Amino acid sequence: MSSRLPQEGSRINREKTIDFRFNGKNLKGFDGDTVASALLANNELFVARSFKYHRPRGIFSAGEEEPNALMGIGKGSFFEPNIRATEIKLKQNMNVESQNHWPTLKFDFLSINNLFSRFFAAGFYYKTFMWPRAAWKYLFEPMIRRASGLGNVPREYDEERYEHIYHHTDVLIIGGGLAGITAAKALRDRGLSIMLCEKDCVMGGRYLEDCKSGNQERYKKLHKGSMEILKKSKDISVKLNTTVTGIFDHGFVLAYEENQHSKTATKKALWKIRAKTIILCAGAIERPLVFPDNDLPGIMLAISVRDYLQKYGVLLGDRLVLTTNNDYAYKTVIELKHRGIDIPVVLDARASADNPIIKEAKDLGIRILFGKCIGKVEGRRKVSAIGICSVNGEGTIEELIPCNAIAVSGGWTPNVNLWSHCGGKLLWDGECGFYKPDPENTPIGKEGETNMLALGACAGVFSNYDIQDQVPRKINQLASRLKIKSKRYIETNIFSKEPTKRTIPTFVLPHGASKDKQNKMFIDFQNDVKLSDLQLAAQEGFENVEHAKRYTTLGMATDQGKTSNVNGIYVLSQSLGKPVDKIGHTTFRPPYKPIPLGLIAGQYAKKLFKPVRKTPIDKWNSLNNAIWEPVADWRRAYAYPKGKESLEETLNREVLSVRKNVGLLDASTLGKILVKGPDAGRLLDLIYTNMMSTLKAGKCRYGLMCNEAGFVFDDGVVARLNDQSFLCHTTSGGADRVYAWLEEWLQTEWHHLKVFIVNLTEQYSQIAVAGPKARELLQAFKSIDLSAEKLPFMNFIETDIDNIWVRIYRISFSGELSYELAVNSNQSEELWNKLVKAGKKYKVQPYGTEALHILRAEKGFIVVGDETDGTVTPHDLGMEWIVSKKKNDFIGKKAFSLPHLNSTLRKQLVGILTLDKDKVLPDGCHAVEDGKAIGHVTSTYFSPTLKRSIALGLIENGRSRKGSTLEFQSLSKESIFAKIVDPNFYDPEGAKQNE
Amino acid sequence: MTQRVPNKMNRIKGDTFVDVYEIGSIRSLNVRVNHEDKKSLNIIQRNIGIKLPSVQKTTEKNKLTLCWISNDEYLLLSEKKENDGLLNQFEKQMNLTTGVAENTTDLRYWFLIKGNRSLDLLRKGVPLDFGKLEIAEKNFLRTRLGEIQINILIKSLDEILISVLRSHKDYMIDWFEVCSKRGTEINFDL
Repeated sequence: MSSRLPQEGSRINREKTIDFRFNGKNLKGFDGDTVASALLANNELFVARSFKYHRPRGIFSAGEEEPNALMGIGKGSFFEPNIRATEIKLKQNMNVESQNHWPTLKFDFLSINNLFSRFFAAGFYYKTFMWPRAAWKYLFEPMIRRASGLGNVPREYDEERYEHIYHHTDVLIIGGGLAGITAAKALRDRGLSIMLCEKDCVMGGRYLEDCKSGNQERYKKLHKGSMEILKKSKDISVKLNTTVTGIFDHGFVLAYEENQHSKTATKKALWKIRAKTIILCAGAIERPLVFPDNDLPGIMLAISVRDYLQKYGVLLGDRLVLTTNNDYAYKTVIELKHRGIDIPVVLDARASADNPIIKEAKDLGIRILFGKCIGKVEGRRKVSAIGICSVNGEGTIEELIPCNAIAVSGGWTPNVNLWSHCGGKLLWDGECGFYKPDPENTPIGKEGETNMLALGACAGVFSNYDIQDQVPRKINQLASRLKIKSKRYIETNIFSKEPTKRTIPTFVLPHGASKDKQNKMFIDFQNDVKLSDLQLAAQEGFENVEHAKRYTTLGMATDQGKTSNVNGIYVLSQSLGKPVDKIGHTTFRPPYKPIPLGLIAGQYAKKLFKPVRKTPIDKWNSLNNAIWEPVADWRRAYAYPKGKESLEETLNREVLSVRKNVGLLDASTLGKILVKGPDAGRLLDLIYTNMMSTLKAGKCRYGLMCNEAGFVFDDGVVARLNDQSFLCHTTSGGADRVYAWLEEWLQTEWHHLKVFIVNLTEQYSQIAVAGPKARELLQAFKSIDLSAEKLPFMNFIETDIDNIWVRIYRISFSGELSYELAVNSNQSEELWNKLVKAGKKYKVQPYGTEALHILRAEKGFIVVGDETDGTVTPHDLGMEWIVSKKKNDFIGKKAFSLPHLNSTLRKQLVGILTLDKDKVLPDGCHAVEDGKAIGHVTSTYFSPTLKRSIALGLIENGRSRKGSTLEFQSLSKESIFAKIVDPNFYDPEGAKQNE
Repeated sequence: MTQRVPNKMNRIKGDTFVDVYEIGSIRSLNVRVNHEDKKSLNIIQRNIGIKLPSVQKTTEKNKLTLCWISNDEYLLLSEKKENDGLLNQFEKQMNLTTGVAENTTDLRYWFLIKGNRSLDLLRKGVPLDFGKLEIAEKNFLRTRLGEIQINILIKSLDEILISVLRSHKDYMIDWFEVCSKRGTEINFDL
C-alpha cells in the first residue's frame, strides 16, 4: 500500500492540512501536495480507467508526462476536465473526480471491453460495424460516441481568470535545471536581456533532487550560490511555474504560466514571447519498459517513485521491485533502502554491470538479478506479485516475488518536442536509444540564422559533470557567434566525472514474449496501444511511422506519447526489420502539454470577446429601447419598439412615419473619407466608375466603385467640399476596406498623384432627417432657406443649428424629401436631442436599419452586400448609367469588355411581386425554371407603404422577363409564384425626393 | 470646431494596480505633408514653430505636441485652449497647400494611465517591445491592442496617454477594468 512517511517531503508543509474530496470521499493532504501525492498518501492507487479497455490504472509519474491520472478538478464554473493529477496543486476543499467510467470507478460497466480486448485490436473499427447497414447510424455510432472522449465538458461558463502578456527578450532559456541555470549565469553581464522559464515552482530540476541524496553539501552550496547570482542579476528574469508550450517561426514562443500559489486567485497567463535566441534546457523524461501487464496500479517510473519520496514523503509501496536497463534507476532503490523499505529484488535487463552505484546497492543488501525481467504481474486492481523471467526467453516464470509496488526505468528520452516545433531536425542515438537534437539542422530565425541551442539532458547529455563542463563552452561559442559582448565564462566543475553509463536500447521484455503476453504489453497507456497493435499495423502494411500512428493511435492522446513514442518506434522498427533511424519519428506539434481553451481566449472573453463599435448616439438609442443589429463591427439600432408592439407593428410605424411625417436615422456609421489634393479629382475618376472630377463644389454625386474584375465593391455619395477636397461616403462596413483600397492604389500605382487621404468616419456623426416634413422640422430651428431652389437635391450647405456646426446634405436613401446632417461627433447627441424635441410637433419618429431597408427597397435602391455578392457588375444591377463612357480608365473598365460580363445569361436585378400580395418571399430563395435555378431573391419585405410584399432579386436575363411570372421555391419546397417587374416600386419619377 | 478636455478626469473604477483616467477628446489635427513640399513645411515651421518628429517620436512646443504616425502623416495635439486660434489659422493655411491639416478632435477618445506599472498594463494587449523605447525622448506609437487600433503617447514611464477610435471607448474602458484588476496581474518583477 502507498503511504506517507512521518517525516520528509521538501515541498509540503505538514503544519497545514488540506481537506479535499476524491470521488465523494473526504481525504486529507498537506499544503504543497499535488493531487497525485495526496492520493498516494491516502493509499489511493487505483485512480483511473484506461481509454479503450477501461483497465484499472494508477498514477504512473510525477510530472507532465502522466498518461493515466487525468482528473476532473473543481466544481461548477471552475470545473476543468483532463487535468493531470501530478501537476495540479492541492487546494482546500478541492473536488477531484476520476473520469472515463460508469457508474463508478470500481464498478465500471465498460470494463467489459477488457474481456474482449483481443477483438478490439488496432483499427478494429475500420473492419467492424459493417452490418446490418442501418445499425451504424442508429446503434453503433451513438454507442461509440457515448463511449468515446475523455472527461466531461464543463456545463457552466468558465469563471477562471486568464490573461495574455507580451514579452520581448534577447535570450529565452527554457528550463531551470543545471544546464539552464549554468547557461543563465554564463550569459549575464553581456548586455543581453535574459528570460528563464521553469515549469516547476522551484529552480534546480533534477540536479536539485540529486543534491538531496546523501550528504552532498557542495551541490547545495552551488545551488545556493547560483540562486543568489540569478536574483542579483538585473539581466535575468526568472518565471517559475511557466511551461513553454510551443515555439513558432522567428523565435515566437508561447509559455503557459500557472501560478497556483497565488494568494488571491489562480493566475493563468499565456506569455507571448519574442526571443532572438532560445536555449533549450528542457531535460528528459524517463521511459518505461514494456512487459506483460505493465499498466497495473502500483507500477510507476523509478524517478517518480523517488520524487514522491523526496518531495512529498510519500511511498508507493512498502515492498518494491525495480526493473531497469540502466544505472540511474538504482538511485531510487538506494534511497528507499536507506529508509528501511523492503526491496526484494532488482531486475536488470543488462547481462552485467559493475558500476559503483550497483556496488552501493549490493552493499545495502539489495538482491540484483542481471539478464532478468518481469514476465508477469499479479493483481487485479493493484500489484500483488511479479513473476521473474529471463530477458531472452519467452517469459517462462522462474520465480514469483510478492510485492506491492514496481519501479520501472527504461532509460531517458530527451525532451525534443520544442526543438522540433519549429523545424529542428533530430538524430537517432543508437547507443543510448533515443532521438536527440541535430546541431547541424537547427530551428532558424528570421534572417535564416540558427536561433536555438539545446543543452543538457534534452541534448542527450545526462551527467552533471558533462553538463557543467559543456554548457559554459557552448555559451561562449554562442556569444562569439552572435558577436555579443565577449566575456569568457569559466565555472569550476564541482561534479565528479562519472563512468560512462549507457542505457542498452532494450525496451520490450522478455524479447521472445508469447502472443498472449504481447497482448498485455502496453506501450501507450493513455490510448491503450499494445505491442500487438503495432505489430499488427506493421503486418497490415502501415510501414510509415505517421500511418502506424494514426492506425493505432499511438502518441495521439493528451500526453502526446511522452512515455510511449520511442518505445513505439522501436517496436515498429523490430516488426518491420528496419533500423530505427530508417523508421523516423512522428511530428511534434504544439502545445507541448495541454493548455485550457480559456487560456487561448485570455482576457478576450465575455464583454471583451469582440470589440463592438458604438455610435455617438448609442446611449440615446439604448435608453429608447433600441434592438440591435450588428453591421460590420458596429451595433446599430434595428428598430425602436414601443410598449407591447410586435416587431412588424414597429416596422410599419417607422416606415409610415417617414412616408407621412418625418423620421430620424442614426447614420453615423457611414464611412467618410477625405480625399484632398490637386489631383484628388483624378484619383476619384480612377476609383469610381463615373466621373467625379467634374463635380462642382457644394454638390454631391452618387458613386460606385468596382474592383479590377468589374464587380461592385462599394458605393456612396461623394461631396465636393472645395476645389481640392472631396468627402467620399462609403457603406458602414466598407469604410476601412475602402480607405485601405484607396491608400493601396495611391501608394502602389498612382503615387505620382498629389493626393492625401484621411479617414474621418468617426470625426463626423450623421443624422438622416427624412420625410415630407423634414424641411419644416429643420427650418424650425433657424430661418435658413432649405427650399428646392436654394438647396436642390444632391447639394449641400454648411451652417449651424442652435450654435452647432452642421453640414446639410440634400440626399435621400428613402425616396422621400431627405436631409443628412453631418455634425462633429461630440455634439451629435446634443443635436439629435434637439431634433427629437423640435420634431414632436411634426410627429417625428426615430427609425432603425430595418425600416431603412424597407424604405430603400420600396425605392429599388441597392445595398452592397445584399444585391451584390462580389460577382455582380453595375450592368447586372441595371446601372449602366453610372459607368462612364468618356473616361479613359478606371478600376474595372477593362473587365467590362470581357464576353462573360456581357452575356445575356447573366443575372440581372429585377423587382418581384408575389401573386399573393400577402406572401413574403423567403430571403435568398431560388427562382426555378424547368427544374433549374435561374436566380435568387436578394431583398424581400412586406411594404407598409404599398401594403403588399415586395422583393428584389437577381434573375438570369431578368430585364427581358419583365411581366412574366416565375416560380420561387422556399427551403421547404413550397412554390410561390411572382411577377417580374421594374425594381423601383415607389415614386419612380423621384418627385418626392426632388420636392 | 469644439475642444473638449474635461477639467475633471473620470477615474476608471476598480481595484487596479495603475490609475486610469478618461480624458475624452483632445484638440487634434491630422497633418499630412509631403517632405518635398517646402510650402507646407514652412507653414508648419512658421505657424506652429515646431520641428517634424523622427520615427515613433514626438516634438513639443508651447503645449503643442506633434506626433509621428508615418513618413507623411502626423498628429498635432493641443493641450491648451489658448492655442485654438493658432490652430485654426494653421488649418486654413495648410489647406491652401498640397498638404492637409484636418480636424480630428472628435475622432478619438483619450485615456491617461498613471503609475509605475503603466507599461505592464499595456503589455497585456500591445505586442510591441517597450524595452526598446528611449524613454528620455517622448514616444508615440500606433499599434494594436487586441483587435483594436490604439495610439500610445508615452510621456514618461508612469504617465501614458492612449487613444482609441471613439466608437471603441466603451470597449477600452471594459478592457482597462478587466486587465488592470489587482490580484490577477502577473508578477512583472520576475
